[in-house]
Amino acid sequence: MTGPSPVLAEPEAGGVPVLEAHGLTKHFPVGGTRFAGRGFVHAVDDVSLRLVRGGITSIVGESGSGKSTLAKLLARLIKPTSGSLALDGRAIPPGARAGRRYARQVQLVLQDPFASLNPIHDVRYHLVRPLKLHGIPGDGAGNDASGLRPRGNLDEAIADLLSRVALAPPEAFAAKYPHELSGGQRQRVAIARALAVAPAVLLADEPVSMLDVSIRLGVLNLLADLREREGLAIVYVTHDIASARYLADTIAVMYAGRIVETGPAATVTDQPAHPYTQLLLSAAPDPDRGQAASLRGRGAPPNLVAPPPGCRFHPRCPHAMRICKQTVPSLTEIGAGQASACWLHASGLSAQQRAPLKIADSQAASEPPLPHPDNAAEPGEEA
Amino acid sequence: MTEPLLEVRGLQVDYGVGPDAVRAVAGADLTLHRAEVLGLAGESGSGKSTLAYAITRLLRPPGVITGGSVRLHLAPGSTRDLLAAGASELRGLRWNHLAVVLQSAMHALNPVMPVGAQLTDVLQAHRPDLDRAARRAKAGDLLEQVGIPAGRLGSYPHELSGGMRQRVMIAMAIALDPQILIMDEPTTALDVVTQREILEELMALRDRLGFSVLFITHDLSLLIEIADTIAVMYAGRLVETAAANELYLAPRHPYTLGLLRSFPSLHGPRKTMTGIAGSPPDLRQLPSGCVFHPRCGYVLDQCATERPPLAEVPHGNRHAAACWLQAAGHSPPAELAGKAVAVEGSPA
Repeated sequence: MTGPSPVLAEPEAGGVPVLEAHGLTKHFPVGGTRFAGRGFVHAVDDVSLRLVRGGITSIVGESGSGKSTLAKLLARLIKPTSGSLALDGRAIPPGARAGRRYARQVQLVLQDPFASLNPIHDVRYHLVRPLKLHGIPGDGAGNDASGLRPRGNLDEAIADLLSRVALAPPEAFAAKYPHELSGGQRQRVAIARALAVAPAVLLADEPVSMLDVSIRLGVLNLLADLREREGLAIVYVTHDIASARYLADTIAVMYAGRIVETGPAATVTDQPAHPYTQLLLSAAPDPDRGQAASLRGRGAPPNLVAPPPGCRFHPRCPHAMRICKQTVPSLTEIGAGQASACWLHASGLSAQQRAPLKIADSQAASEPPLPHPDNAAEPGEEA
Repeated sequence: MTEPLLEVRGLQVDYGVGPDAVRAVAGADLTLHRAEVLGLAGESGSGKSTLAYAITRLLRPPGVITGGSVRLHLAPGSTRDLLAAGASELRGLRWNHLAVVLQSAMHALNPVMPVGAQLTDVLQAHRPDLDRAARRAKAGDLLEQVGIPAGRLGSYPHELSGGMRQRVMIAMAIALDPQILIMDEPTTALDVVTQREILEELMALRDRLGFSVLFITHDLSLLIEIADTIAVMYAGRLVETAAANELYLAPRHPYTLGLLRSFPSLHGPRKTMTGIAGSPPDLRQLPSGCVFHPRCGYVLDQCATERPPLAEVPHGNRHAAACWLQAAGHSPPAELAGKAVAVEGSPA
């Protein structure tokens, strides 16, 4: 770390994580269930995460890396093929009631605030719905017989929500329709809707990538604020590693469905250990770069219907060795909190295992994909 | 600086006519020099794409060009007025001298035709002297130039990745060896690695073929790396133009400074950054005076009433800004005074 960030307090260390994912895996059948037998898209494979109270974890990856699928898995919008989730250290029991309790704790904010708000309803409606479905948090006593809150309290709750996302004056915003709001304001409404149920975890899937550059920071700073003021655990899913470095405590880099590197945000960006993280950083726009950018690798992500054996990055990796093609490297601690899934950091490999892969092999394998790779690699479509 | 190739003066574009017309571009002055990469930066609704469409005369109704001039200096003594050009003159200029690459290659390519056929189409229309075999060979050669094996000529767009489709668009644009490439967010839909590969290839092609590029994007941090000169647009107006390096190190307009402070850095200590308060204005109800004044942290009384012209700034090197702070009699704050101050978030 290059010193503490004034944006963010450090998360509470230790203790039971608010949300823990263990070995999450999602394989989508190709072409939906009708065409069973045509294989599976390996969208997310064996992902484990620990989210602590007041911590911001950023999942960084390119399109098709499985980052949005992971967010949906964490929100329980889709069922994992295998793996488990634990909320406050307890497994989630089956059934709708437990599902609703989970939704009250873990809320998802989506990328496109133009699509995630209903254009025919005003802001008030969007905020009333979660309040009515889940009850106004922190107060079980004031409910009337129907289980709903008296209207006066609802208005108060809405005003409170809107002011927490800095939409002032709240009365004016509550009466507006989505088309009357700017992109940034809409995203704030979407965040307020998620906050309505007083969740412990906020999953934000590319919350600023549809917004104009000049207002992105406002929304990111709001997330930082919420974590500080309310102790939310936040997952920030993004393709923009610079914004992840700005906002998050921890970065997890995903490639082709797997986490390839995790660690403190500044460590991962300042001393990237995994060749893919290095490639990503070498490609990111950076006005401070003295000379022309030199890319540390080529090619495109693999087709996830038939991912490469061993390390999924090996066909593009400038350091690929024989073992990379044979065995999947596991995430291994390499320094203060930093872990990388790369054989370069493993010790005790034989000379044969360390033999460099022939360039020809890796070039051939990195030839971009045949029909459908895009569709196959875009997990959003199937979900 | 080499001689000017494309000169835009006072260009004005409206959407609609009469009292309800919305002015999307108001009096834009731009000069693209030979072999230069001119970056045009702006947020959505700033008018940057409208400007590109107006220059290439691709603007569709209700867009109307209501003023200004666009001159193309093809060779010394041979100047063409693009706004006065008729359909046949435009047909001769487009592709031959002026080619366009748009953001969404998926929509720009015909999905039911192999890319090879689309490439030979361009050649068939504009190079009647070439026979079928020569066109085919040239198309294969073009693909190779942008890093795609010629064997892909028979591929349909859906069989190519997003990056390859955009390369095909670039191959098509350089097919007739134009002097100007106008690129509207050519890499925005792509992943960063692909974006970087394509930019590297574009710059290599530029060095080899010597064309000029008007590169339009919302990503100012990217432009600083690739452009020679940058023009920043806000609400239909150019607010600052300068050499890329000077714009980055010593911006003169508060909007440019705010934009630069909106991109978190990949280096140095992590600092709280603020972005720019408020949101871009509605073009139907523009603020009086300087269009940026409601969001500006340095606002003067004058800003609310008088519109600042885009004018050369003191102690600048061909550096212009539309800001009253830079006018005679005002002393701009240190961060806008033209000294190479480190931008917040970058290493000191």
